Amino acid sequence: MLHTTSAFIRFHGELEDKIKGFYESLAVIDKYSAGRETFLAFSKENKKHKDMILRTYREVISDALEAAFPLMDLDESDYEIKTKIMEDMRFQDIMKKAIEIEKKSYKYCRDVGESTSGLLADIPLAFEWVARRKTIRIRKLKDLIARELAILLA
Amino acid sequence: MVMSNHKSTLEEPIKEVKFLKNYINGEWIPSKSELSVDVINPALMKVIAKVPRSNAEDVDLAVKAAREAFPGWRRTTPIARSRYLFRLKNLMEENFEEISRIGTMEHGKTIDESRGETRRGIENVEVATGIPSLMMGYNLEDISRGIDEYVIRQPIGVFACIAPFNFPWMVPLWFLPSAIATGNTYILKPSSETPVSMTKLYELIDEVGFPPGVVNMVHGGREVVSAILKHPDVKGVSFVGSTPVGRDVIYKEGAAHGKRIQAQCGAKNFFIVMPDAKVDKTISSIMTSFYGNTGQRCLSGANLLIVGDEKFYEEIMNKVKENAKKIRIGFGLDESVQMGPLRSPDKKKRVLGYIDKGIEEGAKLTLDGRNYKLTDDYPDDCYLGPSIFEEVTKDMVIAKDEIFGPIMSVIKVKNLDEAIEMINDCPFGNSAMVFTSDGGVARKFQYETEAGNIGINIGIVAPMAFFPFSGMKDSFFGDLHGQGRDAINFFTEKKVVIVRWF
Repeated sequence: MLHTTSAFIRFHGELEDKIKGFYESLAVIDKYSAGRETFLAFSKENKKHKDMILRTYREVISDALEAAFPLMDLDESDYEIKTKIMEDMRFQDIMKKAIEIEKKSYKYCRDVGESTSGLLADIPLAFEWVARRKTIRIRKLKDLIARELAILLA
Repeated sequence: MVMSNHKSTLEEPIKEVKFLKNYINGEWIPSKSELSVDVINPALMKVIAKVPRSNAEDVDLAVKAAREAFPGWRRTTPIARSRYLFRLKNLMEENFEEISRIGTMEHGKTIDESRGETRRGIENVEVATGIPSLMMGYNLEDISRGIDEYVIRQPIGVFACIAPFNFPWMVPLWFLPSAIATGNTYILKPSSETPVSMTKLYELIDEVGFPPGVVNMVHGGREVVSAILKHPDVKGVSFVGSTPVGRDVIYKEGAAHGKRIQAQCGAKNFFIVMPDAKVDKTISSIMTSFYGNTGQRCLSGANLLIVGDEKFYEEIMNKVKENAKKIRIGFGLDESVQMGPLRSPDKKKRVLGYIDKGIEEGAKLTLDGRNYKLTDDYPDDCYLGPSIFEEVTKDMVIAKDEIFGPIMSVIKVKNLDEAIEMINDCPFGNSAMVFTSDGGVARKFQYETEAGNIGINIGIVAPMAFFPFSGMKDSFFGDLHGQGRDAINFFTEKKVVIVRWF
């Protein structure tokens, strides 16, 4: 269980690192080359998200902040992501997996935003911003699937 | 390294016992006294450092160095002094995490709380970098035909700070950056219970390369305090600590020796919940206000005053109890921990005494902090859980004394007037908070309440670095508070110049 803002931030960093590693691995696999550019952009963005949240936390955390007492605890297992890439996975499969991962990390950012809404506003706002970015990524992944399907059907 | 089952336990920055030294004239030098005391990490009851019990001779050396550095430092331009502080701020940012973890190890507070403290300290340095603007005087042309008059601010000389144990990093930084930015030189006496983070600060100061003697540090206890207060070359002293010491020792003794004094002292803070308060957000604030820093802050909530009918009272108290029971207690470097230990076994004993006193006085102990569970197998010398006393009356000792521990005294009041009357009857005046959705209530509260720091839907009214920390009544002795414009006034003398050119 995650009980404190510090734990929320650490877990977020771990999540972003894991997702970053996932996309970096995808980017070097030939059969997924259609998504290489997107994967590399996403992995870069994962680092940006991690840095941004950590920076926001460090810049606004204050003696007056209810940091140790968020509104609700979060359960890490609700946000567990599976990043293992199986050899037999087709492009469509891997894209579905990526969407699942993005959905989980979206849910995490949204839930942290809600749980920290009683704190100084910057932390929930930063998480909400990252959550919005996740929805854009999901859309981009879906577009990639559609594009690949169209090529296959053509 | 602590072995722990918790994967969220952070690495400890202090790996072996540190032998601390004084920092005088730009050098680390051992104390003239051979006495030292152990610095204990209260969460693990392990010695992390040994701090010298310096004596008057050490103070004299530091004052001499500071006095000799003063003429050169005051001639260093404000913009150049500000650049030293910019360098210090950058080093603080680079070392942010280490500083915070040291704070947790030497004090016991949680890592979130330590990071909050680190940030507050840095903010004071940031504000002081604006000294070229902050220190400006003012002028008027033609006070008489052809004659102009202006005010300039000048530094005064050697200042000193006597710091407390509860915010070992932040409190010295309420004063030191403004003091040196305005061109004074400085001596710090950190708390001998928590001197490690200040040693880290002085390592950074050393790295910045301030001219020798501008900033000095002398570790120690009463003998050092007494020597500072009596030394003729110390022009002013900033103190944060208890009211008896602040009022009867620092203020009286310091003033008797002609010094400027700012003594920020004890508190008994009231947290008022009105019937229209937003309940969930109020509960979060109650938790941090009463139990943050294990209740060891001069801005902590102490008396919870609930206005409203029985149903509202029950709603609030059920949630307060439910949340307080869930508080995770342990070593603050475990990120899952929400409340650390008290600073020492003595402090725990003192707080336990108040629990006994409350029971003896007839208050109802509805949450007994003596029964607590730790997150790991830690020695229990300093730990205590959150306690709640209900059916407290204003004449009880637990409603009047500063307990400095995780104890909440709950008092039912009829209305806002009764709450304000109770606050104003209290000899302390550090802070008071009201939780309400009614602007009229908030305004009346801020207007009529006799406390220096007022919170409207804020549980810990900690003024930012650019505002003064405004305690009043028995919570403050002096005229000018720490931080904000008060700090600039405290550390400078105003000189009037009237000019006529023939």
